[in-house]
Amino acid sequence: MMESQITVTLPDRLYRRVQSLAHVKRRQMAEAIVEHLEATLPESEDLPATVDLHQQQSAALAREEVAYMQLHPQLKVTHFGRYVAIYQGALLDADDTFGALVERVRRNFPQQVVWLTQVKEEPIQTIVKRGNRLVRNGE
Amino acid sequence: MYFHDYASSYDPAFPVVEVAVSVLREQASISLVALLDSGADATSIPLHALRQIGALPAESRWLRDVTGERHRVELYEVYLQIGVYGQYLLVVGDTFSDEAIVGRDILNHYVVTLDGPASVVEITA
Repeated sequence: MMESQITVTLPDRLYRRVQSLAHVKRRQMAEAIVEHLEATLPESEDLPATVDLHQQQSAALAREEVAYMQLHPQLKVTHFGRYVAIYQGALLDADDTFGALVERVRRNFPQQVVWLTQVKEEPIQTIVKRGNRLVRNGE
Repeated sequence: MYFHDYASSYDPAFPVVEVAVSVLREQASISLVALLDSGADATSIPLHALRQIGALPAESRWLRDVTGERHRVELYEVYLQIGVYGQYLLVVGDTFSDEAIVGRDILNHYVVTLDGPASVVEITA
């Protein structure tokens, strides 16, 4: 198999994330990067359409997030603890159970990005991963 | 009741389950072996697997890892099944790992027994 070598400068924060990935996968950093790219990068003929679709989805999600941030103070009063669906900047639907809300939303909007969340005190929640892994030298 | 052997490819052996992940309950799913991690607030699935089934992003949150680093992650809406036990939930689309992780957002719904000496996970409702 032909190989090409490139030099890439990584920001410190990204470097540490790659380092963590390599530790978890028990690989050298370069090997971990190659494996990650092979697993996640679309084939070249699919690349423009795939990248475009995912960018559009992320952009749509970001727009709905902005809308949710604006709606959040009012939703805390009217829908605290409930699951809400935000679409095109407005409250689309709400339910006490997440599954019921998802099934209704997807029946009517099968391919559209819809912001789905439980209304809590803070608009954007923080997920914490507390576990760590021991690795041997060189892994 | 659901049983699964620990994964002995980890040292020490890791409690794992097989999860079926789909967009909607009745749709085709993919199967992944997932680590059980009570230290994780949320379940995470490799992003390429989520894209393979056409899952859509539905929320964005901060994720703080064990080093204290914080970064934004997108969460995807999926139907996730372990044996006969299934639920809709938002899972983290993991861009940096090929490992699926079942966190407390799922574990807290069930009685989960980790039988270390026998290397068996048991899950009941």
